[in-house]
Amino acid sequence: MSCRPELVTGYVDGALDAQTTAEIEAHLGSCETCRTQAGFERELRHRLTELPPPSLPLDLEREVRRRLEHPRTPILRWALPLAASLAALLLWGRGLPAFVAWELARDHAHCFSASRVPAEVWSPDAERIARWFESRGTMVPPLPSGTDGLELVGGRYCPLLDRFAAHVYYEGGRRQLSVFVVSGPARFEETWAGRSRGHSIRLLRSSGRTVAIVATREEDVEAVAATFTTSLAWSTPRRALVPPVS
Amino acid sequence: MDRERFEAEALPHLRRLYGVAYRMTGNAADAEDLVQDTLLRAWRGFDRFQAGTNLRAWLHTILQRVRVDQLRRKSRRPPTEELGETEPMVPPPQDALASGAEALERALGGLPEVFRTAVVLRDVEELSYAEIAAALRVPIGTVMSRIHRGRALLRAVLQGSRT
Repeated sequence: MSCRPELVTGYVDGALDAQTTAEIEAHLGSCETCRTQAGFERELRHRLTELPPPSLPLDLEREVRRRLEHPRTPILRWALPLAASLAALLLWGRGLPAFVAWELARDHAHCFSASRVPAEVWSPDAERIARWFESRGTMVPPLPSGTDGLELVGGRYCPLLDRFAAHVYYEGGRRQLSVFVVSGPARFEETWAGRSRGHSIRLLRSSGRTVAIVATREEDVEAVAATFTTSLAWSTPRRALVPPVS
Repeated sequence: MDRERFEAEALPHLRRLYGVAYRMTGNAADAEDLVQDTLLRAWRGFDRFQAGTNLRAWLHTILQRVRVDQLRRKSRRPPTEELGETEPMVPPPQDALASGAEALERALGGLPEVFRTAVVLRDVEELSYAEIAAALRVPIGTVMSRIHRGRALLRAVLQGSRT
């Protein structure tokens, strides 16, 4: 048998099967090199076994006990459920009238903050505006051409948090008014009135959609709302509100 | 109650675990982190530990896995390459072993981690080849090879320190 240094290591550690052990023992009897290796490894093992362990830090055991009692929770263990809860809350809350009102008041203020409203279709003709939206899949109720000094200007689709709204603009002097048609959930009965971000808002519910009127003056809101309350028996939408066709 | 049982059974191994961790990492701070993370992971998996089997070997297995995870997180892997053939060596006289634990510790600390770990688990912790193979997730033949090469390197270093 030729020298097999790794097997000599296994022999020293008693890790070989009986046959290999016998072969190595026979080889050791005739090989000074391997005999010396075995002697060295036995001595080394003894010395390593006798090595004193490193000093244990004084507070390690206390710190281990503390962490066992109050383990740090991995961030994902609470962050994911929290994110899911927030998402669920958002999905539920987006139908709340106060939230819808806040979102639309914000969009109204945004559009009218520009020197010129960002309409995509310009016309004082209510039927033309309605056809423009209808051609893009949105049924809108019969729109007033104007009321008490407010005149129809145009319209566009505005992005909300999770959907698009049909947004119709009215202007008159320094007064502005918006009519929105919004799809999706709404957690109110037929109508809701309130204020948000300094604007007066009226929400009307019909045929699965929300019609919202937003303006600074409550009188303007109510004047336009009155035209809708008589016409909101408008036909059931044939098509759902969808994002605009680009 | 389970935590009390875990502490009663596992914490007596704290000193030995720390010794291995210290020799693997080479410094006290990393060793403390390694031991703490090991015991926390062991506690979380304690219901999977089979009572009556070797708890110390089980803890060493977890320690090795925690160490691999730590190194992976640091984008730094333990050296896995096996050194080239180092034999045959000139057989040293028996008294060529360097004297003193300090020299031995220094020589041990100078080994590549892959060999140092195998030698420490075998010669300091006195785990069996099978237990080391399970802890390191390698075949028993690889365990034997790593221990052999680790000892051979120690032999070369200790012999050199005497010449």
